[in-house]
Amino acid sequence: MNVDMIQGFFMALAPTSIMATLFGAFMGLICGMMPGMTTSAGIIILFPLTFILDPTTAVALLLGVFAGGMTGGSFSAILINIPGSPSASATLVDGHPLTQKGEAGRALGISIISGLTGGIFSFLCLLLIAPQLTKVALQFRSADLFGLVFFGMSVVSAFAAKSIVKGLLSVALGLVVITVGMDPVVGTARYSFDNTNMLAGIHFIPALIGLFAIPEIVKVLGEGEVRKSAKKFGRVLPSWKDIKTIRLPVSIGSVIGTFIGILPGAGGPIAVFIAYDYAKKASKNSKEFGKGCIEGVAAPESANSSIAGGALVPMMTLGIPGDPITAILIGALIVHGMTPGPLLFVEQGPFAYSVLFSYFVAICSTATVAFLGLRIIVKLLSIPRSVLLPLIIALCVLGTYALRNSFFDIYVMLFFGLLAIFAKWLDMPVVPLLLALVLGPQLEEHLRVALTSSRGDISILYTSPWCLFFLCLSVISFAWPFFLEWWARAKAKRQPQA
Amino acid sequence: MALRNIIGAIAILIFALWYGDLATVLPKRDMGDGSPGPQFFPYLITIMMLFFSGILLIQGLRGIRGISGIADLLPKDKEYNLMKPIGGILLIGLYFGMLKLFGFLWCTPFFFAGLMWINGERRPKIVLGLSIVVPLFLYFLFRDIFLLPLPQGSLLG
Repeated sequence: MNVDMIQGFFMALAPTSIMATLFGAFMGLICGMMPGMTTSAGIIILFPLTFILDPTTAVALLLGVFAGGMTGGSFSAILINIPGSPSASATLVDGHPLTQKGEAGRALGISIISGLTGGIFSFLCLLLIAPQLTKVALQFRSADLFGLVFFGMSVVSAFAAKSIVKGLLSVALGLVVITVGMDPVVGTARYSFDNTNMLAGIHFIPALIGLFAIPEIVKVLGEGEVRKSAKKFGRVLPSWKDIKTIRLPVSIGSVIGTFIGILPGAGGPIAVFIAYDYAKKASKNSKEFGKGCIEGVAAPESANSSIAGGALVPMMTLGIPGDPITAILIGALIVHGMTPGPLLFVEQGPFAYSVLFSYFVAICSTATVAFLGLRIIVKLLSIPRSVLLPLIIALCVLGTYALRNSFFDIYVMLFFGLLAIFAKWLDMPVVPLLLALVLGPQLEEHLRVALTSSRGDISILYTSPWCLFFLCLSVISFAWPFFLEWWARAKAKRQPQA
Repeated sequence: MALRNIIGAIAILIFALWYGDLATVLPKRDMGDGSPGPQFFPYLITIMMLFFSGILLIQGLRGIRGISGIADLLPKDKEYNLMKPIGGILLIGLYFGMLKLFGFLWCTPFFFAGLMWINGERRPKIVLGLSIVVPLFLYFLFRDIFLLPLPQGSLLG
């Protein structure tokens, strides 16, 4: 253990950090559970509260929301058959049948325990892998960093499964936004139209609030009121027999979730369904899967929880977001003056380790809050949307304005909300746009610095081994969804013939 | 989707041409040794937008026979009430516009009441009560406890 790690450990265990994590976990559970709300929206809404906190406490709060949101998404899947997040989709296959059998409490208890175990496993992996990966990343030069960021952006293919063209157009629109303001290398004003607000650039926090909150509200408005009453669910604490039964599926889910979480853009839904499938194949009760089997809850839930720890590995060590939530977390860290990446471990070592330990505290807080406050949290499912929607917008306004005391940012939020509605109408994913907003400035800066150092010679991009390695990975990452689609089609063609 | 693709592609094409045209007037400021200047990245983005919106346009034109008119532009779910989202967007736009004149404290109760009404809440006591209590609670919570700045109006605080 080095000194930074010990300091980080105590920073994460400070009473204020623990309080913030508990509060974050409570809010995350609510946001993840409520249909029409998401973990991303929860982080965005609570973000303004972090302005008054020191960075360690602020990150602890947001990690609490992250961990709580992952578990909360499964609560609604189990209780009302609506997954609160896409990665809770596999949980409802066996979770809701258990509710119908009158064993909702058992399903929720298994979900919490599996999530806790998966989360702890992914935390241990995070703690082991992150410092080693940082040492490698510190050797990167500008061309390598460009390759790395380009690889980070290649995950758009995972979010643009329906149309890669639309995914790449979404990236292009995001890159347009990052060119507004001062040039990052020579400091020339670009696309500012002599407006002082534009000269400072478009801050991505109002942009992402607009991108995620406004279209969600517009969507929910069209759907009308959905009232769901809380159910009776009996005993929550799992029995010793249940715990023995779920040992294998939890182990499978934890390993799969952590590994897939580390891969940028691989996505939670893939991990939970793979975990479910493997647990089914490995189980003696495979015929019970789909009919209300606790192993069918345990495997996806442990995977769902461990994805978060896995996703924090590329975020903390390389500054690359693995999913939309980590992209938002990167934004939040930057606002607090901490840029995730290898240098964070060198320049702000105690803080970097405090983030890792805060994640551990967040997992434990989520399990504690979920067990103790389950009955209250579930009752919140019945809050009417007519109250929730204006409240969300008002909180978005307060959060956006508090960032720079500027009405301009509120208009930026509205503009991006309308842009996201247009994108939705065109069936264009907005996550690639978000990735471009987060990674775009680094992409431009590293590319231009690399080309300036080589005096415009483009060969620097393929003569540097690391850059070439990342560019090859990017090609594979772009091509992978197409390969899978081709493979599935070829398989489907072969089957009827057989 | 073909009609939406055509409209979307044309919109992005026009935007790309305008964006690219503005890039040509940016100051050069390179080092004269082939290193890229401020125009470099906008040019790359322009090429990217022109290329992919061109592909999207071709995709849209290839599916032109399947277009069934204005219905293609509306939501597929026939039970989706389009008037509520439109009303909601207009109200949000109006609220954001009015904030600069009247500030958070005076605008938010009207916005709350309006959005609750659009969302189907018709009980006057609930609408009136919540649209006053919740914004007031938020106002004092953020101003006095979190000590965060709140939008102040130029006409009313």
